[in-house]
Amino acid sequence: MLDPVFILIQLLNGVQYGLLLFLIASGLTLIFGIMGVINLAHGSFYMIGAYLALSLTQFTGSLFLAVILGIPIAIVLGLIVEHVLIAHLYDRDHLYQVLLTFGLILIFNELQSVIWGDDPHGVPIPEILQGSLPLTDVLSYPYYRIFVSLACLALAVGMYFVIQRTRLGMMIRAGASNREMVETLGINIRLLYAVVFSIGITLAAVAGMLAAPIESVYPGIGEQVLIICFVVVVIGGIGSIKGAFLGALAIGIADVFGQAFLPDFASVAVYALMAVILIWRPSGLFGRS
Amino acid sequence: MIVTPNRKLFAVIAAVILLLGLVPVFADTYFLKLFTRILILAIFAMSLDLLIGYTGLVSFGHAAFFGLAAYMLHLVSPEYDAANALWALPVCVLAAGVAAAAIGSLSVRTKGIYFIMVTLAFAQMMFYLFHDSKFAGGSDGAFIYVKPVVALFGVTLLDMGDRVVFYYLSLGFLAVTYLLLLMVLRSPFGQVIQGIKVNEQRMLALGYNTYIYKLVSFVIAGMFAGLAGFLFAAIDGFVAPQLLSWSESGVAMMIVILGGMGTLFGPILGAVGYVGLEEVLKSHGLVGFVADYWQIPMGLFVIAVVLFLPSGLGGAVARLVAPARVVKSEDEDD
Amino acid sequence: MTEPLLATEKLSKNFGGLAAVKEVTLDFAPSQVHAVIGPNGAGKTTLINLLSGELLPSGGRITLGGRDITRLPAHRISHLGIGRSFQKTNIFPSFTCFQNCWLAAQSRLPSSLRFLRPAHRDESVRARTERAMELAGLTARATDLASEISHGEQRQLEIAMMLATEPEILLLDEPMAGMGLEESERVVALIKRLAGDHCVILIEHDMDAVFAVADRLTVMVDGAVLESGAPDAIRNSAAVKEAYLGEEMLEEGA
Repeated sequence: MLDPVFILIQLLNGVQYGLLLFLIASGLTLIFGIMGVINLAHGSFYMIGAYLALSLTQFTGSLFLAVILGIPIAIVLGLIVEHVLIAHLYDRDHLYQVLLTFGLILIFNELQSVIWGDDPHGVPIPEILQGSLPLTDVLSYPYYRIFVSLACLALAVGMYFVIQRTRLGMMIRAGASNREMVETLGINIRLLYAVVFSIGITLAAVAGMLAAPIESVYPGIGEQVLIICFVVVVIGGIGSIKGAFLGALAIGIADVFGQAFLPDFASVAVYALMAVILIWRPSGLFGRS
Repeated sequence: MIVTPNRKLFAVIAAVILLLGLVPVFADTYFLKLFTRILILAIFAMSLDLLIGYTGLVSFGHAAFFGLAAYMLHLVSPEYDAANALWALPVCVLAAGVAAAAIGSLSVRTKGIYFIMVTLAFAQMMFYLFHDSKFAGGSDGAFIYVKPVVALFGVTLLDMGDRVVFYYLSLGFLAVTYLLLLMVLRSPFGQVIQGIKVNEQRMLALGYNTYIYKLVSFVIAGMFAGLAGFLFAAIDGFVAPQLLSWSESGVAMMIVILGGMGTLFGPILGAVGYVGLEEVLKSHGLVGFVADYWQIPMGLFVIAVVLFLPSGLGGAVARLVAPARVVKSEDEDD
Repeated sequence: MTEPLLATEKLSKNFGGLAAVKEVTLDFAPSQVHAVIGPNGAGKTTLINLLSGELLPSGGRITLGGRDITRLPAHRISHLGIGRSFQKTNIFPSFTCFQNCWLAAQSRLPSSLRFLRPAHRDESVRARTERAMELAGLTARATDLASEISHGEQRQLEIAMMLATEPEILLLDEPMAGMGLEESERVVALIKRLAGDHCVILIEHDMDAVFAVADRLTVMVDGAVLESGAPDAIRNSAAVKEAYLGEEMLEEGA
């Protein structure tokens, strides 16, 4: 069983899943850290991304085109949701943020069911990425998964540069470390919030689009991924991109190895990992206490 | 620190409970079952109000204790015979309490958004525990074929299989839950948790080990949620992992807010309002084709409550019967 | 001189790279008012927060009657008889004044893990609550919400809450800040009265008040102790004059 190539494949799967989680969790943690808003509907945008990939791929015949068309849709959707609903939640008790975004989930889920139905769907892998990289005589690794990992990594690196090198990044860093300070810096806080929210949910939607060909697209995918991303954020520390990155990789790898070796307890293992980290560091690996 | 309702408010609450007592006289089986569900959800939400409304702990995993106790009833029930509630109920409630102590001991160390996410995550862990393992029916759920009875020395005193008996039993438990929680809130312990909600750091400076008090509050709330879970399993004779799911926790939270958090009686109104609305929205006879998409109006309703009715129905009632500040400590004794 | 009750030894606190308190070694005697003065940012409030257990020191020791209490949390410190008032009013705004003081008084019960009897039947707590309110001159405000009384009264409430915990050592962080003249005079009188059987550690900017009540003065500058001694000695210290006390301030205090 403990074939090194098999372990390598699991490790690659874990990293790929972790990188995907990072895309979602980084948006979540930025929205917490900068806007002080807990957004339960974050997972819904992952779901929306997956279903957008489904429809747009059918429409255009290409997943790449689907992603290119899907991104502006997600950005606009984010701006609308921020403006119409989330804007009423700033400085309100987290309880109300939880409830309002909970209501949003109900609506999104029902809309999904109305538009796409409740059957699972598959999204075809783009032709040039079909097939697998042979590792041994029997084991191989799909090209598409390699592509997803690389795409996520590219986005992560891009995010790093935006945050470290640009004016927007400066504002985000200032906001994540001290929310009050941003206001005194003469930054248009409402605009910053709208941009952060929109970017955050677009990252989640992109993750959904990329994941669509790997996992089938079905109702409820958003919730599952949301709660896992909460665990990622708890482990990494609220507002910390670095924490989200390491937390996502840890959870991704733990989950994949759990599925492989302890299938009955894989889902529980992830939460057990969170519990251990909480005992050790109650505000996460990179959290401000 | 609004703890003891004044006489007017008390009269309103007594009237509501009396009205609920008349339900079996008029209701058919369907409505009786519906109202039993309302009573049970009211107990569940009331226990959550102790956390959200009085201790300042926004728990998003409260269904874990509700569902765990429900599963415990399944586990302790003999397959073809009735469990005796006299010992089955304490066992279920205790199980919920132990789980709350374990989960609480870790979660209560965290604050704010962390606490919300951590309680949610632990509840999800419990959900998967029942969902992925085979011992209690896995994702399919499991049946309790024979409803529990209250029996003493082999004589059956109450049979929970009887819908009317079960309804009054639930109503009795709701009244007892309300009075017990009221008593707890008036006690020295209750004063402390209410202080923690307003200003925890000051409570620490005054010499209170707030961790212990928050944990105890979490456990008490978990045990009352367990009581509700026990009743819920008994009414349906069926348990499924969904009872521990996060949407169940969300519904409880919604009931607390709709009813008015920090009012204790509000969850009764909230449960009537929420379950009533859900029934209406799901009914083809009343809303036509909308019933197929009932989650959309429900979601809009939830959003509307957050935006336009943040202090809930209970807050409105409390203002109506006691326009000024409700109670002052001095006259809390009489 | 009497044995010190509370003492610090090379006590330090760093926030990131900033040293807020630098190797402070002081002792505080019973039945004495020990005022700590210094310009803003001198580390006085940080010192109080270290003594009360709200902050964990970066270095050094705190002893109470010879016992090391350096790393005890705030709630344990409170039960050792060290009470404090906050510079920034720190009360329960949505509760009445009575309830604010009640919570403070109730903290002296061996445990509040009692669930059945109504809290307000406890006569010992009630007596302590009422006494503290009377000492602070707040009896008339008992049933008013803490958020609705005047700023000066909130400052009095701050003191009443500390008194309700019946501490032996009082850490007073600018108790008179924001008070009117009359209220300030009342607090000065109260401090004098308490000094008889309490160890009072007072941070205050009002030099009149300081020289009126202090038995001992410590001057802090940039987190470190510049000088510590009897008020007269401090008044005549050239170093203190140069570093902190303006000439006119001394005139006023005299």
